[in-house]
Amino acid sequence: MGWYQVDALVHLVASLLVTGYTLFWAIMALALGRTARPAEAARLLGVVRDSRWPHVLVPFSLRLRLPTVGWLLLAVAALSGVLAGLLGHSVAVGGMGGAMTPLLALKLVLFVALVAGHALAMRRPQAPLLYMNFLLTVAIVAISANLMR
Amino acid sequence: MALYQISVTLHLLAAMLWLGHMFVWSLITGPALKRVEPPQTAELLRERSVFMGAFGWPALALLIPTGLYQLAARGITLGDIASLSFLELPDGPVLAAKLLLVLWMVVYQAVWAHHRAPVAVYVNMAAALLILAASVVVVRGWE
Repeated sequence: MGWYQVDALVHLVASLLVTGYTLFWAIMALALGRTARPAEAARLLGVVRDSRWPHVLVPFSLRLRLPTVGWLLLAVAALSGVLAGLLGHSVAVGGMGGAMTPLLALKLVLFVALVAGHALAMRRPQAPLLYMNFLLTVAIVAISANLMR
Repeated sequence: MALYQISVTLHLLAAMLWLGHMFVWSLITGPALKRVEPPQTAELLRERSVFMGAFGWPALALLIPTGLYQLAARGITLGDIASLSFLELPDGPVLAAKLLLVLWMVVYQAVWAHHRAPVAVYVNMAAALLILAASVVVVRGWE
């Protein structure tokens, strides 16, 4: 595989992980909102936020809190996306040619909104923010499907 | 063209949601929640995290028909797949590998998905990554 293809694969995997990550938070918000009182649901979302990864092999002090894992996933998605633009795959074979289109601009705006949403949600996890982050992710994936030829 | 784009969008969304759920729950959030204290809270959170059930069958219900539609749009019919004549195409072998891996994931879903199967889970995730790689090659070529 060429470098563009490798980068495209990294971007796909990172996007898949970001999708799973925001889906997880949305499901936790929904599940806890349905089965616990608001104050208890908020407390439990905070417990989830403070949980650490990985759960073995690494000393506890070096384990990452879930928001940090989220930041890493977003960073890999962003960097691999920027690299895809820089590699500027030829439009003739279905790539972007390094060009900015309205659809790509919309994707980038939504990604910035997702980054902001993640920052806010991880300070204080609340259901509306977590749902919004998930919907932003879905919108970004849907737009990405229409960027491909 | 619009129907094709809708198909691609649904195909990608189904894959992202299913595989994202699979990877993140298995590799990140599931393990992270195991060590929450006290253990009763850990158990509660893990139980809550799976209250919506799994995504496999609904995702496959979208992935298979949209995948077949997209193949047909590229000139590869069910008959071509059944007769293996698609192997003669330039990306035929890569496509064959992808379809075999998809078949594995269907078998995994039917046999192991809702049971404790640590080895099969990791084999399934490896298959998913190979499917993604094959998809990149089919759509973007090798170089």
